[in-house]
Amino acid sequence: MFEHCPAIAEQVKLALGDEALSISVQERAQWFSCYFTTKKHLSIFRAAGVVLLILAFTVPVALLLGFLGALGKASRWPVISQICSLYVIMVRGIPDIIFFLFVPLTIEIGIEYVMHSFVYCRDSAEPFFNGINIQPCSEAAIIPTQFNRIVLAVVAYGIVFGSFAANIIDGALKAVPFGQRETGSAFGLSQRQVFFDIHLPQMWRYALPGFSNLWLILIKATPLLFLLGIQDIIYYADLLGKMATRRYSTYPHGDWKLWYFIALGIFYLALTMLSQLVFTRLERRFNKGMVINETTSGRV
Amino acid sequence: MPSADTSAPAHAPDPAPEAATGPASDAAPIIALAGIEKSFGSLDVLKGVDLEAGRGDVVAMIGSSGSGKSTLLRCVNLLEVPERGEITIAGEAITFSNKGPARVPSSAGQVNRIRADLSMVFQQFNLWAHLSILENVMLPQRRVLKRDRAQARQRAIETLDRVGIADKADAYPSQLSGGQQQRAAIARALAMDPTALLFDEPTSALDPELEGEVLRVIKSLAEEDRTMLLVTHDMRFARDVADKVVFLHQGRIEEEGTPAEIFDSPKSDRLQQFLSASDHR
Ligand SMILES: Nc1ncnc2c1ncn2[C@@H]1O[C@H](COP(=O)(O)OP(=O)(O)OP(=O)(O)O)[C@@H](O)[C@H]1O
Ligand SMILES: [Mg+2]
Repeated sequence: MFEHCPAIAEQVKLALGDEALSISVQERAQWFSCYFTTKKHLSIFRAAGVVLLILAFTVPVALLLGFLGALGKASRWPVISQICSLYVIMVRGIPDIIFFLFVPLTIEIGIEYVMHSFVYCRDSAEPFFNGINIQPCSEAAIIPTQFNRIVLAVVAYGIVFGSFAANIIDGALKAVPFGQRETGSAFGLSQRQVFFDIHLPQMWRYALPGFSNLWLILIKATPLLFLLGIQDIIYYADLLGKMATRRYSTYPHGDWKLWYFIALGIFYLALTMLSQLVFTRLERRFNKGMVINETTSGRV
Repeated sequence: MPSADTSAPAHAPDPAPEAATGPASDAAPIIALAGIEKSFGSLDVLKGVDLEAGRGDVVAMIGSSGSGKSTLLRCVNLLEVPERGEITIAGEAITFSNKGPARVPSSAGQVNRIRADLSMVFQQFNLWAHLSILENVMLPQRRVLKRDRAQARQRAIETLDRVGIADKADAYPSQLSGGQQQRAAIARALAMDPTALLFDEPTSALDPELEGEVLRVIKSLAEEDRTMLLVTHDMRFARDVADKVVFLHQGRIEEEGTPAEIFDSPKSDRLQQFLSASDHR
């Protein structure tokens, strides 16, 4: 499809050297279409895809952990309720960035430790913790492939944002007027039925503003992915925007970083605007029948 | 009622052996409370209440604010668990475990079954805000009585029609007036085909001009010989619909009797004071 590219690139490159020769609009367009489809550029598009993918997988993980945390907090077993309370408080009190370093590292070491001690190297004389160093045997060491890093990112983001979500869900569950649930019980609905038919559906209305906020924070936290060694869009924007000289590049250009970062800004802005749209719709749906700042009572 | 009879237990007039407390022999009262005591912390709200409602009886509970009327009504369907006392619904005694403040019904299944049989209408209507009126009336039928969608829907439409708001079936509670909401709540209770209905001041959250429409509905139910336990502040209404009026004062039943007895010839000073203060004429 892009077989013409080397020729176009060469032609324009030559033209750039000779100020007298002007480049036609058509040539310019062809040049750009070739420029944007180089291997490196495909990587930045893929990186954008990875961001979206991580976002998409983080949401269900965070929601699940959020529900577990919020419901676990009210557990009648003290161990569970204390772990869940801790989970909620811990992440609130510690900067996210520390978590993005701490959580993946802990998970990584944990898995390696289990693999080292119980699966692969049981006979090995080498201890896992060698003084201050951590040395899994070669079979147990996690290879830092892109896939592994993405999984790690999803888990780390899921844990951090799950804790925020737990907070929101906890508050939203408490915000549902008690009378609404009690009426369910009064008609003979079981605890489960009250939860799924009344409490949960009414909870969303109180949780959505918080979730909407959290989602935006999550989107804005994706640039931290580089901390996990994921070569993300910002890395590529920086790389591709650098000046490219005629000598070393098929597609020479000046310092285009500004343009690349503007494009990045637009990418994030489009993402957040789209989210707003979705949340507005969701809110309209979950607000159905629910009067703001009012329970079913009192409309007299 | 107490007879000079020698051998028979005081309140077992029917020949059935006393041990047979299975579901309702016809003579057993629908609601029977005996020695109910309930406190919140150090506040003793109910101090030993006995109350009976036979099949088809309309029992009205009156009393000043804080006398424990709502608490007593809520003990009937176990929204509050009394520390002491027995609750027997249609001949079936609720079983409890533990004693004192830790007392709980021993079977959630039994409680839910009893609750399904005693529909409650709340002062604040408590329609489920996220469901349409029709869905409100259908939900407990579907979940508790396990009726299928078509059955539940049909019964819902019948009862909504009965209370005169079938045209509001698809509206949400917040779109209705207070009177309409309370009628919808009554339809929801009726659709369960309960053995008895419990009302807790069903009109006191309503403007006076909306009270009438709700009272008319309740009156028509009373005339159908439904068993009803009704807390009300409306003395005229109590006199109008009740077979028996119970005056609760400071957690005890101070006086009970027919509406004529209670309203025309009150015996206790407390009741006389209460009635003159509430201007029941
Ligand atoms: N859940 C509760 N916790 C603590 N105290 C309570 C609770 N429910 C009721 N009470 C107290 O118990 C007493 C009786 O309350 P109850 O609601 O039964 O009175 P009532 O006769 O229904 O009054 P009203 O006519 O105002 O409705 C009141 O003093 C009330 O404050
Ligand atoms: Mg009350």
